[in-house]
Parts: sequence; C-alpha cells; structure tokens
Amino acid sequence: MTINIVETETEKKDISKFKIIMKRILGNIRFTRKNIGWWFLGLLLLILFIGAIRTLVIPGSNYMDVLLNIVDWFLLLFGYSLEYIDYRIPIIIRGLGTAAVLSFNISVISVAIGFILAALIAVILVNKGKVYGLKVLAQAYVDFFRSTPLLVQILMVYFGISGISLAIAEAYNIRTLTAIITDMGFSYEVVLGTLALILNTAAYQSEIIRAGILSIPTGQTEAARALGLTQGQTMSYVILPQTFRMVVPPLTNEIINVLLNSSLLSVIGVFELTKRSRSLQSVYFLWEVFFVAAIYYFIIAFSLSKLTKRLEIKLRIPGLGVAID
Amino acid sequence: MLLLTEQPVIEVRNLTKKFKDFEALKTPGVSLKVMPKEVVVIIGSSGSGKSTLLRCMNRLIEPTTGQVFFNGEEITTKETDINEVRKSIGMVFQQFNLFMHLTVGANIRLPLKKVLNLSEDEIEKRVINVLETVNLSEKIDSYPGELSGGQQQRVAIARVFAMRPKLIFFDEPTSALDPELTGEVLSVMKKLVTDFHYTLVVVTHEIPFAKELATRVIFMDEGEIIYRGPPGDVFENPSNERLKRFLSKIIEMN
Ligand SMILES: Nc1ncnc2c1ncn2[C@@H]1O[C@H](COP(=O)(O)OP(=O)(O)O)[C@@H](O)[C@H]1O
Ligand SMILES: [Mg+2]
Repeated sequence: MTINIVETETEKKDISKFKIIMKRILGNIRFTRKNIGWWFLGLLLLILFIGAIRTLVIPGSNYMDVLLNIVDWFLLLFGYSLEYIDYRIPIIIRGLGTAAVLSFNISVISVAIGFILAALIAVILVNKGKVYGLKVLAQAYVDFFRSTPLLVQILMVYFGISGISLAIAEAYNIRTLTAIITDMGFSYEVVLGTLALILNTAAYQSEIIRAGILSIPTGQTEAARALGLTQGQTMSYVILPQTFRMVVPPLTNEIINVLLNSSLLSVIGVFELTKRSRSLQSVYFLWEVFFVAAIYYFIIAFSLSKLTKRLEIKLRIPGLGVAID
Repeated sequence: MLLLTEQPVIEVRNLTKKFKDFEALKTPGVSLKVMPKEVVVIIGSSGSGKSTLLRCMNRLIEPTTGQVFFNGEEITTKETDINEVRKSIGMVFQQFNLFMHLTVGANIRLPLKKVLNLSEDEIEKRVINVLETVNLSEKIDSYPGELSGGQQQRVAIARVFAMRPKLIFFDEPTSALDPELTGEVLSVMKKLVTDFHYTLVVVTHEIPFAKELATRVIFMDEGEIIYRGPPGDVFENPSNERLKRFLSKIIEMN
C-alpha cells in the first residue's frame, strides 16, 4: 500500500517535471517577423530530413517522397487526381535543383567579380586626383548601367558581343568567340550572361561603396595624412577596411537582387532556375513547377541574407555603425 | 660664450588662405616663427582661423599664398614631398581621429610600419614605450570605441609620439572632452614638454595650461594674428581691447 503511494507520487513528480520542461520549450516558440523565415526554412529541412530517414527505413523509396506526398495532398485540393502527378514532382525537384545550383553560382561569381570592379570604380570616383578622363569614364559607366533595364543590358551584351565577335572572326578569318568559349568547356550563354550581370552589379555596388567611403568621417583621412600616409595607403589601410564593414548590409541587398535578377538570363537561353522551370512546365503542364522554383530562390536568398548577417555581426567595429538590434 | 643663432623649427611667411571668397587667413598673411623647445599657444574665438593656420602648416590644407619653412627648408614648393615632411610633424586633433577599425596597438603600429618602415622589433618596443608614457598599457588590445574620450586622446598623442616627430601640433585637444577628462590629457601634454622637451604648437582655451607651459601666446581674430607675447603679458595685463574682451569671455565660460 505505502509503496504504491510513493510510486504514484514520483510519477506525479515526473509528469510535472515533464510539463515544466515542455512549457519551457513551447514557451520559447514564437512566430515573429524576424524568425518567420527560419520557421519556413526549418520546415523544409525537416521535410527533407524525414524523407532521408524514410529512405533508410523503406528501401527503394526516394528522399523527396515526403515532399512529394505533401505536394500531392496540396494538388488534391485543386482537383488533380493522384495517378497523374506522382512521378513528375521528383523529376521537377531534381531538375530544378541543378538549375538552382547554376543560378547560385552565376550570382555569387557576378557579385564577387562585380565587387572588385565596383571598389575600383568607387575609388576612382571619390579620388580628388587629376586623372579626369578616367573619372568621366567611370561616371558614364555607372550612369549608363544604372539607368537602363537589366534585360536590355543582357540582350545588348549577348547579341552585341556575339555580333561583333562574329564580324571580327569573318574579317580576320579567325575562330569565333562562341567556339573559343565552348572549347574551353564553358557554356557561351552562361559566360556572356554572367558578364552582363557583372557589369550591372558593378555599377550598383560602386555606388554603395562610394556612399560607404563618403560616410567615413573626414577626420580619419586627415589623421592618416597628417601621420604621413600617402593617399593610396590612407585608402587601403584606413578608409576601405572601415567602408567594407559599413557596406555589408546594403551589399546583402545587392547579392539578393543579383540572384533574383539572374532569372532574366533565361531570355538568352541560360538554363538557370527560371528557364528550367519554364521548360519543365511546358513538358508537364504543372504550375507547381514555378512554386518549387520560388522555394529554391527563397532558400538561397534567405540563407545568403542570414550568412551576411553573421558576417555583419562578426565584422562589427565598436563605436562604428549601428548597434546590435 | 658663443651665442649661435638658432634656426626656427617651423616658420610661416605671409600665409593666406581663401575658401571660395572667404578669407580664413587674411592678406597680407600670417607670419610666425617657432623655435626649438618652444611651446606656442594659439588662442582666439571660434572661426578665427586657428585650425586653418595649423592645417596649412602641414599642408592638410593648401595655403593660397605664402610660404612655410620646416628646419629652414621651404615645404610649400611643388617639389616638396609632403609625406616626408609629415613624418616629423605630428598632429593631434580635437576629435581624436583614431582609426576606429584598429586596436590601440594597431593604431600606433600602422604609421610606424607604413610610413617609417621600422622593423617589427623596433615597432613593438615603441608601442610598449609610448603606451607606458600615456599610462594606457593595459588598453593595447582595445578598440577606440571601447575607450573614454580622454583615453582616446591619450592614444592619439601616443600614436604621434611614437613617430618621434620634431614638432607636434595640437588642435583643441581637450575641447571635445568632459571637464573631468581634460586633466589626464593635459598632464600627458605636460609630460611631453617637461620630460621630452618637445616643441609644441597648441590651440587651446585652457588658460592654466598656457600660463604654466607656454613660452609664447598668440591671439588670433578674424584671420589675423592680433597680438603675441609671453603668457605673462597676454594673461595678466592685456593691452589689446579685442584680446581683453576674448579673455573675459573665456573666464566667464569657465
Ligand atoms: N573647408 C572650408 N570651406 C569653407 N570655409 C571654411 C573651411 N574650413 C574653414 N572654413 C572657414 O574658415 C574660418 C576659420 O575656420 P577655422 O580655422 O576652423 O577656425 P577656428 O579653428 O579658429 O575655429 C571659419 O569661418 C570657417 O567657417
Ligand atoms: Mg578649430
């Protein structure tokens, strides 16, 4: 009898402990403006994770199956019947996966090379030196690429360079650029499309960096010059290191812009995410293709923004820029 | 005993500066000699051209007309390598102007490495030495943003001091500081004079500092030097009307 009572009491204790722990966990779960993206990303990863576990438990199944099931249920709502859709979604997800990798690579390369170009242009533009021609040229470049549609720029670069290289090849009886690039193992469209994105983002980034340079107090330059540092040394050791920390947030915006704008490369036949989803749609007649494509864009853009947020916090200089939010 | 005629460390002849149409340093221009081991204090109300004069002397601002001589050599010619001259002329600013992205140690190291091209050993020696001088050895790895204004200004002085210049300019070094922090900066400046016998040109409104350490006081008003003399003359029985008015204003403020 007595033993029984003791047992139930410890049981009760265990239950209340469990309750407290659960409360603690659930109490911390909140949907806010800031973490809603994490929930979304986490849910997607969870679905893929469950899928991956299922492949271990049920041999022969695909790790996309769970996602597939969810999409199936989703499609049922729109009056599709199951036998039509099963096999298409994994193909779509995988096909779009490779395209997403291409989109990601194009964007990262464009932003990286564009950044180097932009830093150069920004330095030229803020320089008080006498190389006037260079400055005019840089300003004209920035103005042109910021004041014309990216789509037009892509078409211009693609057809312009193709046309000119063809004319040169004919005139001098040499190989065309298309052949040269293809022989090097690259896709001609991808190379020229990336070039167009580089030219565009360099113009935007140069304005971001220029504004960043101008935001550094003049006292920094004065102190550096008074110590005997040259103009070049002042730029590279004092101004630019501070500037790069200041421009991480606006550059994050630009990285995401480039990723999303890379969808325009579909017009010159680059098989990136958008082009690939259009071609898959034309085969399978499923509008959900675009939904999957959007999810891919989201995953990349969101992860990038979180990554640069990390960078931003890591690079923060005490007493400079905004405080931690 | 043979009396050698000493050469001024820095000499300014008929210096004028025009910003657009505004004459910050008026014609016929400012002239000034600073002899070795002198402590010249410049006073004058806001906008009278004190900062402009200092900045023209190391050509942070290009003078419109006039000449500046450093150790007898003109440094306002086209051929002058001004970066070479600036190695020997230190400058401390009102707003400290420490490099925000660098630690205290790195702030001091940067010019030693990039301007003086000293060896690593020599650089480390100097960093430790100057931080001891300004009493901030424990802050070597702090960022400027983590220091008080007084501490920042002492680091700024240490950074200049580590270059071992011939001459140091101070442009209102304590004006941006809370009153209780000015003392620590002034005492470091005093150390430069009494222990290291530095030649200083100091723009300041710290009258006690000027009385104690200045060898000469210069009063500027509206882009001109109105009055100059030993601190006794300037502060005890000023004979100039404008100077009198200025001093009474300063005393009122304190
Ligand atoms: N870069 C500049 N452009 C135009 N006017 C200036 C500039 N710098 C200083 N001035 C003017 O020159 C005058 C003298 O300034 P400054 O030398 O800074 O005076 P102080 O240091 O004695 O307060 C002021 O009237 C100021 O407005
Ligand atoms: Mg001033």
